[in-house]
Amino acid sequence: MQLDVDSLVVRAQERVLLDHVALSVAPGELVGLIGPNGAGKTTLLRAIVGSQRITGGSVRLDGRAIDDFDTRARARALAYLPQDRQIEWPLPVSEIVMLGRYPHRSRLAPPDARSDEVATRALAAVDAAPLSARRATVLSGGERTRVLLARALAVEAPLLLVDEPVAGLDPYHQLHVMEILRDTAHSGTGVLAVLHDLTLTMRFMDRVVLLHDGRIAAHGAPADVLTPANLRDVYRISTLEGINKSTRYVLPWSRLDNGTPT
Amino acid sequence: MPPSTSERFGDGAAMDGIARGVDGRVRGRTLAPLCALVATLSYISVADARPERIVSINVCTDQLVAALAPRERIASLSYIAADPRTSAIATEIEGIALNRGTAEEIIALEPDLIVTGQFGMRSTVALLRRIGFTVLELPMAETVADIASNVLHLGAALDQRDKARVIVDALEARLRKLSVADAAERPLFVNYDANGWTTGQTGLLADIVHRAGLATPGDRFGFTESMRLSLEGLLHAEPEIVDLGYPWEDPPALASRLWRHPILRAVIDRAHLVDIPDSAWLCGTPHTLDALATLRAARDEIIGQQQAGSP
Amino acid sequence: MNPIRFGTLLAALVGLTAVLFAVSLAVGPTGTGLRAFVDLAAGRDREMWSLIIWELRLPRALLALIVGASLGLAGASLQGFLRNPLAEPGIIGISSAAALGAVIAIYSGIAMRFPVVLPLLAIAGSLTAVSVLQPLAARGGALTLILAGVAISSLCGALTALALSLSSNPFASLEIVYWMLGSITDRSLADVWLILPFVALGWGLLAATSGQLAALTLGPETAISLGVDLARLQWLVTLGAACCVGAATAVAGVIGFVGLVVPHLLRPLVGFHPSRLLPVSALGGAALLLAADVCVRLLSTESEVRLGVVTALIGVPFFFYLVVRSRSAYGAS
Repeated sequence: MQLDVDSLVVRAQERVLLDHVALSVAPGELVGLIGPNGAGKTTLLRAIVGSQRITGGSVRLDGRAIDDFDTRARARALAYLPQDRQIEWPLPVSEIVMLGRYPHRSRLAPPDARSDEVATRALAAVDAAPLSARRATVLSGGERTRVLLARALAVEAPLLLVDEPVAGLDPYHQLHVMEILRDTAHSGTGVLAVLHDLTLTMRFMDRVVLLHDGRIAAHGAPADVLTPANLRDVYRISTLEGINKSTRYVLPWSRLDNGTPT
Repeated sequence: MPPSTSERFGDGAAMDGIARGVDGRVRGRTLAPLCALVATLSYISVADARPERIVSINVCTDQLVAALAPRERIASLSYIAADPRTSAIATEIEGIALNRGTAEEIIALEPDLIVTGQFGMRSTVALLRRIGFTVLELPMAETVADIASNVLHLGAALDQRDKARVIVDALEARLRKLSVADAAERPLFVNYDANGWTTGQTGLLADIVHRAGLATPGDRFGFTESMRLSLEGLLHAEPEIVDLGYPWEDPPALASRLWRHPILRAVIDRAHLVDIPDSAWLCGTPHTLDALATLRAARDEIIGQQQAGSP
Repeated sequence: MNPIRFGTLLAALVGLTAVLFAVSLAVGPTGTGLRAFVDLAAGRDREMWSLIIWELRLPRALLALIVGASLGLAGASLQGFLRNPLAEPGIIGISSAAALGAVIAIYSGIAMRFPVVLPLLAIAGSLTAVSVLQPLAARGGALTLILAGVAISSLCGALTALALSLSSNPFASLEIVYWMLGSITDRSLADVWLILPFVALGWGLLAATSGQLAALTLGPETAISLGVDLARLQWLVTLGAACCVGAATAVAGVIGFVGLVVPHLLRPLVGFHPSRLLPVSALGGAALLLAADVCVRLLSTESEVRLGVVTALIGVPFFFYLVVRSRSAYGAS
């Protein structure tokens, strides 16, 4: 399923959060959404999911306006992992993952075999099958992110939106989560991921959209977006670049304004 | 309403209970000898003077003062005396100033004798005495005999001994006429009051019931003080004569909810219902014998029916 | 800890409630145990026993069942929706607000003429309280919710006392005890019929929330993405809890902690699943209140032990435990 966002405007209390933003995610594509804090990345994801009111523009799925979908159909089309990783009750991990099946289940039906199978597969996809019986509130950060990611995968939506999936994780688990996202995309799902890590963005993303003050500053292949000029203008940093085994990489190196307020 | 109203009202309504001249009987009994002594002493101290500005601050003493003293010597009665639900003289006292029993208004009345019941208003009474007022505290009537002694006692204090004697003679004559000397058979009488309170074995109400040749729930089930009787207990007791307390339905309170319960209707259907005004036995006054007369008539009717039914 | 199979748990709770209901019919001042039924079967005092059972013990048992189930269900739903195990109708002031509404209806005399005004005003009271609390709970977290609850309870308690002392009926001012601690002594079937439609409406509304409460476990953002209509859910919980608590309080006064203890005890048995918690909390609440009411009758001395006293004695230790355990959550809010 193709996601198209066109001249999207979001205004809240007279402040323009998103200003004519356009982007698209095709099936099988892993798209990175980057930008400094407050650029509007989370607002954009929330606008697509439907938890943020849109002022203007359109969000379409396979060419159909998202407002034409009923809430359940929309929930089946778009899986979302929000930034907030709270788990309120100590449910077993298997039940948490099963929540992903909510949009597929009629209200009174008991859990069906197919849902169980999907949930088990989702847990296996994030290498968390052994956690199945654990209480969700006693997981480590890495485990928790993977379990919640499995919950999002269990929706089996053609589109997956994830907000800062690697925040707070050690490098091992960061790479692990990025690999899961890449595998998910390459199995046919369109994935839109908000990231802060430029190195991982450069390394894993098929395409990158750079947001700045609610506008799109650049978009395209990672190497075309993460240029020293773009990073200087948007992030006010200089970077180191190099090539490791024919793959380009980028490292944030120093602040350009030396911390003086602008 | 039986004499232990304040037990039912609880401490929260101390003002009401006190102003009505009724207070916890438990205290009443334990303190009785001491209080009688105090009352006698205060009686001696006021006996020589003839009070001209009498103030009563208790609904029970209100009724005795009104019966004994000429109207022009009564400076004020308690406001509850004007409430027909609790006072038998409500219609007779128009024109007499009413008070709420606060020291300030009593002082302003410049009384030469203050009359009140023995229990409650301790701090007001102590304050008035400290300032120098003469306060007569009458003990609460626990029996019909206490009524006579209270009347005589107050009559002496008000310099109305002859009038007191007349009242007491009439009271005793009527009592002799109405009392059942030794009842072989005592039908059960239940005075069912707000919140389900009913009579034990002691107190003015029980004394009247006994003299009428009837039994109280306390006699039947073996409790001394007033107690709450659940609707289930009431139905099970199968009373032969029932009197319902004032329903207090305007304005309503939960206490009166029992009055609308189907069980209460079933109990009344199976019993002889009498209507005795609460004022009759709330205080020991000559009016109290009206209750005795009603109960005696009800008993005679029941016994008569039984005898007619089984000759 | 392995959660018991859901069906087994439901069946066990239904059985427990049924047994306690039967015990409740068998216990009373005139005959504890089976005497009433034996006498009734043998035809002794048939008329009296059937009056006692139909007009006194049955309404009482039915009220314990209905009120307990409503409080348990309302507690579990509020806790699921607000994602806070301390959200109990009594603690956060919903019951006091309902009591205030009921007090106004009764002591003004309106409820004498139009009985239906009693549950309606009580529900209006609880509805107001829930509506005030919800935005605070959403923004502030556990501590804010409890503090706002204390404020609402105090205000409603003061206004209730004021309304009672303004009444010229001398009994009114003492009945504050009833409104604070609850009782279902000497009620009639009329009380049952009076609240049943409102309670049924509340149960229906809360039953409709069940699947959605589970989705809220991962926070409102995730719930929305799963297709939960949060505005509709809030409406269901608010009105449903208000109907349950308002109608229950209208005839039984404030009975605290049922909605706290019951969900707390049953949560591990349903694997902490907020949706499965609803039916078992309703049954558990009914069982708890039936048991508490039987205790009240067995303990009963001269002056009745109030139902709310029994539930508070059971409930307060749980409340303390939950407060201590959620201390960290306060820091986070």
